[in-house]
Amino acid sequence: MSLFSSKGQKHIDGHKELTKHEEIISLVSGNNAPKKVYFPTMAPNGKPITFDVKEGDKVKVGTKIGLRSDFYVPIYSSVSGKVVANENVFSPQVGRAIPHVVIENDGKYDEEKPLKTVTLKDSAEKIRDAIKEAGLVGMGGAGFPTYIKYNGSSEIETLLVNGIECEPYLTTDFIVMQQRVDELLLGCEYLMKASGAKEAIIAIKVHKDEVKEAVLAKLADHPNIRLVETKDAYPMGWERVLIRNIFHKEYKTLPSEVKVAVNNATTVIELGRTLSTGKTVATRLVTVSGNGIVNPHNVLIPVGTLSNELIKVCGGVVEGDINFIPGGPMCSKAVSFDTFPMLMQMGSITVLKYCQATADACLRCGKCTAHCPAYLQPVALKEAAEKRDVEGMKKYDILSCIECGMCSYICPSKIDVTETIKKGKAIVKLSMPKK
Amino acid sequence: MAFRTNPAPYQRSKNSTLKIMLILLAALVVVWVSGIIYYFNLSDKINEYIELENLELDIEEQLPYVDYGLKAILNVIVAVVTSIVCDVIHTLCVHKTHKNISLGKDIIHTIVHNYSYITGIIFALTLPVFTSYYVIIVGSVFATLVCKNVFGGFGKNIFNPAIMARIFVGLCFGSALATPEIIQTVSAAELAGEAATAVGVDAATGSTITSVYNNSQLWIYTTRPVGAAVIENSLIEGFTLENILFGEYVGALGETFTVLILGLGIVLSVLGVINWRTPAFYLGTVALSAVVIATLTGNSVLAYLVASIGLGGVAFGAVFMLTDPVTGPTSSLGKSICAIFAGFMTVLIRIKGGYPEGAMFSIALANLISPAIDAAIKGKTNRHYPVKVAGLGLGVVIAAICLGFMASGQVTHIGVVNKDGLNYAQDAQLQSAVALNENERYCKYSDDVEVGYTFSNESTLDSKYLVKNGDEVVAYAYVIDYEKAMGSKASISAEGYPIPLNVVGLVVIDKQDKVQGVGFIDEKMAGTDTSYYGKFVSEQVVGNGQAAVDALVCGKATTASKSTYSPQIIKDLVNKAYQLYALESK
Repeated sequence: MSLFSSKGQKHIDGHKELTKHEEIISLVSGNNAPKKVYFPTMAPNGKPITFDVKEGDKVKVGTKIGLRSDFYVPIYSSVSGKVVANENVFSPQVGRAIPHVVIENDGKYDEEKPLKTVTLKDSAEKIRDAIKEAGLVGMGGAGFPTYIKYNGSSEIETLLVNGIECEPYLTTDFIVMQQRVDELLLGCEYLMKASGAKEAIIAIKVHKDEVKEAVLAKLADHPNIRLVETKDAYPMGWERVLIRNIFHKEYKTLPSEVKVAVNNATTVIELGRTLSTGKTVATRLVTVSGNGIVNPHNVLIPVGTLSNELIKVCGGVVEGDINFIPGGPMCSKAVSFDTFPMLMQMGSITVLKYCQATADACLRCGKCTAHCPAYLQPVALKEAAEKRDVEGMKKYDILSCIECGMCSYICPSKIDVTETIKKGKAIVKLSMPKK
Repeated sequence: MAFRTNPAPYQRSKNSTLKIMLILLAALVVVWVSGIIYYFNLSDKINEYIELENLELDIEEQLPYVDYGLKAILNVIVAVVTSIVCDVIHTLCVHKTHKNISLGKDIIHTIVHNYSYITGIIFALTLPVFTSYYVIIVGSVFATLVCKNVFGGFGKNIFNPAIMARIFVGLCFGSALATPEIIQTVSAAELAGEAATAVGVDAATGSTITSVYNNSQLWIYTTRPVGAAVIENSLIEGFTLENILFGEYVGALGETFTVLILGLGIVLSVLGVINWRTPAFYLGTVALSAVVIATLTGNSVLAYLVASIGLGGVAFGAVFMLTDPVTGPTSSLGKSICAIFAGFMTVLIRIKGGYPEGAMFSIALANLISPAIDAAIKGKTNRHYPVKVAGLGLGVVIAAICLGFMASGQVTHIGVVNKDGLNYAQDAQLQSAVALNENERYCKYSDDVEVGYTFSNESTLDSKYLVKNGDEVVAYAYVIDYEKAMGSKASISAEGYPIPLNVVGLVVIDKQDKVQGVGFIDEKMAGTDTSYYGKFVSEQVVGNGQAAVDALVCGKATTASKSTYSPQIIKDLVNKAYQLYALESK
């Protein structure tokens, strides 16, 4: 009910048809296969990643080459070949050029000895360890280490598999979920076992009939897994909104408060594959789409491929000014370089023709407040942020903002509300005492 | 080619402020066109009437031909053009601070994006059609320059410019807004469907609904909108609820066609141009108050309801003015609170303040408290959700009940009850007929008795009564200063109408809600004389003593609140008094 609170969701044009039924271009082998793949030496949060390979080392697909310093996330090579010199490449996560470990692809894809596999009969403890060792991060874009959600510290009743994909243009989950249903269901079973959940819910948006049919065809063998369809709205894929829609519950910080664990569908699929075969994530599907791309397609790449190679196989970009976005058009920030490595969590590149929006005066219509999925009042936050009023911003709970872009999207005056709030958030964070 | 790094998101909704404003403009134009059509028709009828009757009219020696249809068109054009000119003047003054834009582009941008044309059209629609052009021009300048541009233009103004301009001209040029006599005369006749055939002006009452309504005393003292009186009692014969709903009366140019305005409100809500909560809570508060007031005062609920919503620009204000996002709170909760406040103020000003423009003032006051409401609603919008819903629901109910008691607390009950005990009369003429002093002129008592029903127009006494032949009626009155009232002889004039009125009674209720006297007209005395003045004989029968009254009503009615003096109780009181009288006379 949204009589006085925000609706929290809104249907937006998904433009999914651009790539939904297009053929998948593979960059894994063949002439277009990348000559080099890149692995950043810094995690998205700026913490260093230590690499234990040096120049000249030979690696295979699945060779453990590095380890994140803050969380236990092993980095595995996605190609076989030789480690060449470190190279400074732009990293959209960090926002500047940082050193990357570069592996020259020999094109053979020799495979390393697989990791230890686990079966559903193994103990939860063992499965958790296997998840940790797999080096999986959330492949929906956040890149948050998966194993942390399943450390067994909180009681989980339901596993929620997020196949919503609410950002416009993105279709990788849509395709992968159709093609790899077995691994998806296997991944669910593993995670249910690991978390102690009694039930798993696979959530997709309505009108994803292909996925629905593919999954339903195999659900008979999995009595504890069911498929739920949600409204086609943004940001349905945000776990808070998804849980609100499916369970009608609210929580403060983590979904585990309402006994739910949420994972992205592609992550669950890769988890099913890695745990059952011992093969680590080496490739991923990337949507290259938008009206700035000549031939939008989904592209299968070895992790670490440079983005410009994806653009090349999709016919390049159109003439004129563009927004080059490593991610979807709602949340991700456009970058000024078209060359950066595609990491495991990066599922899309969106290139849009630049269109100049002239901002009108704020007419205080309150549409942003009426649609904020975090139930905030963006217009009030914006005013406080413009005044750099830290106390005011805190009162309006600015740190709850998830920067989903809804307020800017909905604004009839085309004001960059989200951007102003982002800046306000930075000011508030700076003003807070360091932990 | 360049990589642009403007802020996310890169997909924006296709909606724009300009689009919202143009849809609003389209809705306003629909209202305007409906007004134009009405005034073209009215002008035709007036001219026809003048042609037929100009010799017999003693209003003016030579009546001009009128063309209010054209005036309806020009009024809006004048207001819009004035607003645009003001924008241009303003731009010329401040252009040097606008860098990187040529003067021409600056002017065009200001005209398009300052949306003063909306202000202009709304302002013109809130004025009566016969408002002089100079008033419209002064008002438009005030709206655009003083109320909008001085604050920094669109999006910065504190008050709705059109409302402020309307209040401004209403206070400064009140007489220029008054209904011309010809409209009063002819429109009434026209409304009665007699325009072409009327033999004389006196066929009509000489007052239009607007002029009666403008006599805002009606809202206060009789606690019933003139609409109810008009509809129920043929103050203007043939005037019905439909006339109010479909705008078939002379009022402000765009405020009369209630059904059309409410329909447009629904369309605008669906299109997302306005937030439906604002009109819903505003009209809900006014409507609920109307129901409570009508119930407590024993009026016709339907008639009071329709008149409350349909008259005085309430519907227009709800859909087109209170919803102005710039001057209202931003959150849905804030908008709802603001709307309830405005609804409360509208009714309060009507029943206590005595301005027919209750809607206007209430919207201006709502604008005034909007920043405070915004400041009060901090944090997330889903917090304490049940409390908010319950609180606002309760707010509406409490507001309505308070208003109901405020209204009934100062009610002057003057009404007529028919056989079935239905309170369908309450006619102005009958009230004047139930005169409470020797001179048989109620108006003379208006100052002392605080009944306040002013009847300066002698002719009304001669006009039609609602009481039909053979009706069994009871007249009752509540007066505050009962001593003076009791000292006088109540009488009823039924001149011009066949008698008998079988039982005619008068109940006098004092400030402390106590019945101070009950009177009636003796059936035998009523006779069949067409010019009969039946005298109330209350003092002969029950005197004015409390004991007598207590005996009469077994103590029940004496402590009841005024609102419980339902027609039936009044009727019973009079009947008991009559029985006592009959006993004594034996």
